Parts: sequence; structure tokens; C-alpha cells
Amino acid sequence: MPLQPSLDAASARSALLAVENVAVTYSNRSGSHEVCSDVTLSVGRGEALAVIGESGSGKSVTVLAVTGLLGAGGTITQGSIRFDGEDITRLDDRERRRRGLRGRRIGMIFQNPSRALDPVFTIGQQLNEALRQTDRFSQPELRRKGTDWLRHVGLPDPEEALDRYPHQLSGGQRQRVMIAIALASEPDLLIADEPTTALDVTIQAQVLGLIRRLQRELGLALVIVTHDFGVVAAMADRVAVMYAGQVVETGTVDEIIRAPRHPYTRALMASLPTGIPGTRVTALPGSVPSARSMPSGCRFHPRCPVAVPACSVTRPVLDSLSESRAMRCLLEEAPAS
Amino acid sequence: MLTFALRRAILGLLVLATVAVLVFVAFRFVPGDIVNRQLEEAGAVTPALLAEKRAQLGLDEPLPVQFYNWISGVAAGDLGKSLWSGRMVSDQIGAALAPTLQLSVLAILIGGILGIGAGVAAALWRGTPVDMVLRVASTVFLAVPQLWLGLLTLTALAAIGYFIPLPYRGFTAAPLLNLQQVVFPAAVLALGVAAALSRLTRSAMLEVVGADFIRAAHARGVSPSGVYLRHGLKNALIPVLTLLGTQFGNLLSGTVIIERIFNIPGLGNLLFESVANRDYPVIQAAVLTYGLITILVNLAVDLSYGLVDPRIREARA
Repeated sequence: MPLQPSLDAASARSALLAVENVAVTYSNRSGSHEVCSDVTLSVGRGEALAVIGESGSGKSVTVLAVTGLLGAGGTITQGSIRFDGEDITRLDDRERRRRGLRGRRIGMIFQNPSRALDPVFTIGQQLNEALRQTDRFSQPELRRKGTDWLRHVGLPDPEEALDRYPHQLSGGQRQRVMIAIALASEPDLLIADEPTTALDVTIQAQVLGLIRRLQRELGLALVIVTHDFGVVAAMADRVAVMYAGQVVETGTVDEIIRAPRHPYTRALMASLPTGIPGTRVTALPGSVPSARSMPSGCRFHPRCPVAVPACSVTRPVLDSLSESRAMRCLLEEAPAS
Repeated sequence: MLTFALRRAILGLLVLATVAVLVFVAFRFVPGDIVNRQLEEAGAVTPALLAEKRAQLGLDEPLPVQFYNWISGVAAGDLGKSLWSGRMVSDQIGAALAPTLQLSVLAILIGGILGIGAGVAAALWRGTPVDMVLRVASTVFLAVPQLWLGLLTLTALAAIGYFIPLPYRGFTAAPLLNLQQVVFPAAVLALGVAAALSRLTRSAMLEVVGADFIRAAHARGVSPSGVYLRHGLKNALIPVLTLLGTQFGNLLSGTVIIERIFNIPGLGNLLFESVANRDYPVIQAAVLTYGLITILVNLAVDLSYGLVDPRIREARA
């Protein structure tokens, strides 16, 4: 893989989180496969970045790599992850905890709040674990702070909710609790991995609104993983579009939504329902290739509507187009069809 | 919760009644009776003497009548008298209960701690030599009969020149001496319990460790011991508790032979002797006592689920 020029050296240096050319490999007895190769993205303080892609594109793996929660068999095989100037690429669990990378500086919200909350402990007990990351508090202090956080995330009867168990809350309330837990240790960076996918449609907007409001109020950096352009538009300042384990296009939300340039981004946009009756949705045929059988050349070429013969041979690199924008495509002068 | 306990109590009584009928009937079919044994020892057996003696003990009446006489006594709290010694059965049971309870509680404590500890360790160090050693050890101790392990322990102790002091003394009378007498039989019983528990704990922990809430706990900075011992173990505990209950039953049956081997004057020894003598009232009372203990332990296990899992607590409320 050719060494790539940094997207934007200056912004990467000042970025709170900078992921550069990261590859993640999962291996077990039956072999190993790279689920994520060459991911480059960055987030500054107070900035919200959306990572969008189909399932299997490696977006969740990317954020798990940042938090060091890849799980059994998963390792970062290439590239680097820097957080607030520190290289955190290869830290073990103990070191991550010691440096406060778990909870105190990086908070995380998971996809399914019903499964991410321990069913046999109360909300208060789980919230206390997060609160204790910042300081030693007495029981009454923990209770007061816990109540404050639950009120902050808009839970009805916050004081009583501390003594309730996860199954006694609704799905939306559980995700509010997860948000409170993630923020209670006052992190600088909040990572939200498809935070609304498991929720009812009517609740999704409320939870997204809450995350966006708290992110702005607390000046947090936010990385939100999603497969939904609606979420991108509502939540983020910048977007990274991922396909088959690579970032294929990045830019500001405005740029990407108004003028997507990578054929994959355009195909994703075209597959969105417009809400106008009678208009047809253009579905993107096929699915994301599996890590075991990656196409040669450009990974998108088998599904690409504008592919040329060279696309199946030459691997495109992520080239910056402007200060804020980069794209991975051989046809950089892609037809503006 | 209260109605739940009440339902379980009624069910327990039904089980106990069934046990009473079974033990009563079963032992009447065992050939030879106490009259034979007693007169054999006296050395003068004539049919007339046999019949007279049987009538004296009420053994000539039809079985249903005998059962009625016995069960109505039991219901009124009278377990009858030993046919052999003439002592009150309740006194004998009372004296034998304490050593058995002490032995089995000690064994379940040692077994529980060892087994759950080994299971957690094997799960956390899955695939490492620690895991291998623990798994092999648990298979071995699951397969070895307690009788053999008990005899082996005695022999091994004798070989290194250690003899368990005799005779048996109660814990309140001589605590140190008592512990020396009880710790080895308890350990023998505990190994079987630990072997079964560690296997289940390991698989239950492995299942829990892959759960999302474990990853979420890591993500919010909970210490490894907090993640695995608090969140992991508490979630893995329900199947382990169930097995602990059934293991207590196994352990009780193990005490019969272990008490015999280690000379502990508990229920097992009492049962052993009364079976040899066909001393019906003592046999029946001892078996009923075992049944009662088993039922109470299972009730306690059932109630403890609610302590571990709030969802079960609510479903019962």
C-alpha cells in the first residue's frame, strides 16, 4: 500500500482523535481476515463526525478499535490512532484504564441499550461506576449527581429511576440512561455506535436530538456511526463514508449531501427515499464484499455504475480534493452526471 | 412472594408424604426382620417365639394399619421408639443431625468456593494451561467415587503418619478436635461438588463474558475484577445456584458412606446401622429427615434466584 499524504496535516495535528491508515484483522483457528483496511478519519474538539456505510463496511470495527474493545482475535495491524496527541494504537486494557481512555476521556454509547445495560444491577449502580471514574464521591453525592444526569437526559422521575432495573424502563429510556452513563464520567470524546438503530422510529429523533444538544452544550467531540443519511444531516458537521473497510469519501455534511462525488456516495444518496410520491428509489445492486473475498483494484468496482477497466486493477488511494474533502476514486474527474 | 413460598411449602409437604410412603413400603419388602435378628443373637428361634415377639412390636398387623399407626404418630410429632434399643427415635435423630449438617454445610461451602472459583478462572483463562489443568481435574474428580476417595484419604493420611483423633467430639464441646475430624471428610465430599460446579460455572461465565453489557462495562472504565466478578459472575449465577441445590442432594447421599468411613456419628451412620438391624422406625425417620433437608435446601435455592435476578423477583410478586 503506497504511503498516503495526510489528509490535512495541520488539522490532524490539532485533532482530538486522529485515525490514520488503520487496518484491523480478526483471526481465529480457521484463518484471519482483514475487516478494516486503511481507515483515515479525524475529529476536532467540539466537532461532530458521522461515519456512514452499509453493514459490513467496517464502521463499527473502526470505533471499537479506537476504544480498544475489538474483542477476542481482533488486532490493529497497521496505521495509528492518536488521541489528544497520545499514540493509543497498541495500548493494553490496563494502560487504557490508567490513562482514563475508558470512560473518563472517551465515552461510548452502544447500538442496543437493552443489551448494553446489565440486567441484574440497578441504573444507579451502573451510573455510579461511571461517576466514580472522575472522583471519589460519597453515597449521597453519587445519588445527587446520578439524579442530575438522569434529569439532564430527560428521564422522568430521575431520583426513583436510580433504583430501577433496566427491564423496568422503555427502550428509549434505556438509551437515555446509556447516554447519561457515557457522559457521567465527563469525557472529551463521545462515540455513538448506531445509537438509534434498535429504537422505535418515533423515539429515534428524540434521542438524536438529545445527543446533539448535549454534545453542543458540553463541547464534546462526537463520532456517530450510522447507516442513515438522515442521521448524518441532523447530527454531524463532517462525514466519512465507508465501504468495504475503507474510507471512500470525506467532507463536510454540506458538501457530501449537496454534491456527493464518489460513485458509492452518490449511489447511497440515490437510494434514499425522497418522500415525494411517485418518485422511484434507485437501489444499489449487490452487497458489500466479505473480508474473505475482496475484489482486486477498487473494492467498489463490481457494483460501480461508472467503473472503467482500470478500476479492477489499480487500487485507488484517498486523495485530498480540498482542505476539507478527500475521495478514493480513480475517476477523480468523475462525470457530474 | 409469600404465595410463592406457600406454594413451594405445600409442594414440599406432598413430596415428603410420598417419601414417607415409599420408604415405609420399600423396607417391608427387604427380607429378614428385626425379630429374626434379635432372636438369632439370643440363639433360640422357635416359630411360636417369633410370632409372640412380632405381636409385641406390632409387626403382625396388616401393613396399612402399621402405616397408619406410624404416620399418625409422625404427624403428631412422635417418631416412635427404636425396635432395637427402645430409645426415642427423635432423640437419636436429634443427636445425629448436628454432625451431618455440620459436615454437609462445610462441604458445600468448600465445594462452592473451590468450584465457582475454578470455573471463573477457567473461563477467564480459556484455552491456557490453567484452563486445561482445571478441566482435567474436574473430570477426574467427577469420575472418582467418593467411597474410594475417602478410603484413599484415610490411607494417605496414615501413610504420612497422621491419624484422625477419635472418638468424635461435637464442635461446641471441642472445636479444634472437631475440625480435625471433620475437615477431611468435608474435603472429600467437596471435591465432587467443586468438580460439577466448576464445569457449569465455566460455561455460564463464557456465555456472559461475550455479552454486550460486559463490553459496555469495560467501556465505562469498570476495573477487570468489577467487570468479571460483579457483572459477570452475578449474571452467570442462576444456573450455578440450581446445580448447587441438586449437588446438595448428592452430597447428602455421599455423607452416608463418608460418615461410616470417617466414624462420624451422624444421620448416615445411624441409617447404616438401622438398616443392618431392620430397625424400621429409625430407618423411616432418618430417610424422612434427609427428605426434609433436601426440600428445605431446594426451597432456599428457589428463593435465592429472586435475590440474584430482579426479573424473577418481579415475576413472583
